[in-house]
Amino acid sequence: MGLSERIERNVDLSYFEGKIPVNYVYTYGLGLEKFFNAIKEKGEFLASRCPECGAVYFPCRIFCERCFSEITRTFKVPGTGTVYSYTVCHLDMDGSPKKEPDVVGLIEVDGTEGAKFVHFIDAKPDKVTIGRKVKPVLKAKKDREGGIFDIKGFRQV
Amino acid sequence: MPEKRKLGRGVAIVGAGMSKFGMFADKDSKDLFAEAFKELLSSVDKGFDPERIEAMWIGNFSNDFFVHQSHWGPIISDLLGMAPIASTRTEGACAASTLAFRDGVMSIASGLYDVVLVGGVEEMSKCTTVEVTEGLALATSPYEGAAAFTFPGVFGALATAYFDKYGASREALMNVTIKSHNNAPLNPKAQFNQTIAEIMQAKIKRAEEKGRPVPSWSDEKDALRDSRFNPPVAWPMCLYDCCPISDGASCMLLVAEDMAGEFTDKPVYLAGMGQGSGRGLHAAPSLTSFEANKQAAAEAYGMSGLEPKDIQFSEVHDCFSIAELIHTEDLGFFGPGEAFEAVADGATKLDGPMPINTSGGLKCKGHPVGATGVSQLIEVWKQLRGDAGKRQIPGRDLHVGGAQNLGGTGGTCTFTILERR
Ligand SMILES: [Zn+2]
Repeated sequence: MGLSERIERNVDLSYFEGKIPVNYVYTYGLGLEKFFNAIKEKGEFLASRCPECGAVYFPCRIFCERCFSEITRTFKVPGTGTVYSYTVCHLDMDGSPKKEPDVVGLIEVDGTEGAKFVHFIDAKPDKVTIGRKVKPVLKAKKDREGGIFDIKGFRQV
Repeated sequence: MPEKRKLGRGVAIVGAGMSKFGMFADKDSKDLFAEAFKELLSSVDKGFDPERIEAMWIGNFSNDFFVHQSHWGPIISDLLGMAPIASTRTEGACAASTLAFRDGVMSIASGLYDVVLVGGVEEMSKCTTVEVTEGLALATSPYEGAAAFTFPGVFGALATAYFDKYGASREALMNVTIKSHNNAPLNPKAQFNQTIAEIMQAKIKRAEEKGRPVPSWSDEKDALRDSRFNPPVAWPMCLYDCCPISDGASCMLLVAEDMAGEFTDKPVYLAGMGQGSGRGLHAAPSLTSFEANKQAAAEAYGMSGLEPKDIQFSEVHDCFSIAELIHTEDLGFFGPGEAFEAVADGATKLDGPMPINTSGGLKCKGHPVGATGVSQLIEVWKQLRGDAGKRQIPGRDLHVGGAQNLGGTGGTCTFTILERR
């Protein structure tokens, strides 16, 4: 039944196995590259403001989605925020139970006009509340690779 | 201005068919579409020659990923012996076949064609669970999937936000699930055909036979609260809040309005249709409403000149139970934050004032993603013609019904209003 039922090859028809060897490369784009580099090198979170219309973007962008002006300058935000909503993931991608459930939240990021960040919240499921202040927890600098998982998650303060 | 949008000429639905939905180890996408088309042929009251079909649109989300085959337009036209007419695949995640329907409508409205076939197909059960979950997650926003936010997680976060804002609880979701499972046994095409009460009885019987501890649930909600019966997936989404993995196909025959009488004396007409797009959750203005729904609804109501109170019943995209509550509010059937109480009062039951998902919904009918949109329209078509069998809405003179379809995490939403004149 759906996600928790283990289906392994539901086939009575004759078939041959398809195995496509795909190694995906996900590029960040110019704006996000700047964003992740700043986390990796300096542990900083970058937002940007449109020089023409003043719209604020987080993560930083290279052009304004409202007036299409070029955006070249970024500014730092603390990376703190509040829990906007969350879910508790009990099952893994293959439908098997996780040892410990993961709390995944939408964090409304301070100083960004309401941008949200999707990431883990480091807390027991029954201790998470909407509206609680959170701060980011980064990996040690030597372990950071310039991607989303340089952030370990957010901790309630 | 959405209210200004009108069709160049009217469109009627004069035939439709769908395969049974479910997990079929012994059928592939072509077999399923053939099953749907065969039913369509016998559904045209005055009969018709398939040679009259001039073009076709086929919705499919990700058979490329699920069964290693893309390019479903010509595969289906070839299957039906209709090559070399134009056949186009449409993709809009779980809204793929409503986009096929819309393209078919627009081709007739523009005067390009008079008779077209629209439909959809998806075959998901040949993959493992991890592959299906990965495949579906391709339709989340780039910011969501990367951080473990696959579909159950996204809708779990929507439910948490809904509960927080309106004071609802998991009870509200249980009411949706119980209602859908009550409709499903009345639909012979549905993947699941048991009510929650019947599933409970079956589990109790099995426990007795195997000499295991016999559950002592007092009622359906008591069972749904039991994590052995209804394990959490992405809390507050539990197993019975989530639609299944499915295979299936659906199709419809559309003709220019003034030709409908050649095919049937009971045509159903398109009254209004709309489509919207939305941002990822990280940028969405609200987690208790889909902006794409609002756009789709404004277009459909504007085109039809109808209002929410004129819609007598509707199919909505309940991929997860919480979605049904949000959609019925976005479409204006209930006020913001009011759907969960309306469902608790029985408003959306088959014999309630606003029946929702008489088919059993995605939860029970099944959700072969590319076939879902047209299958929703088929349910509305059947209800309006009085052909819905045991699940025919009782004691009502039905004239207007709606179907709302959602793709991804709200990236695409459509609303379509059909009418009998
Ligand atoms: Zn700007």
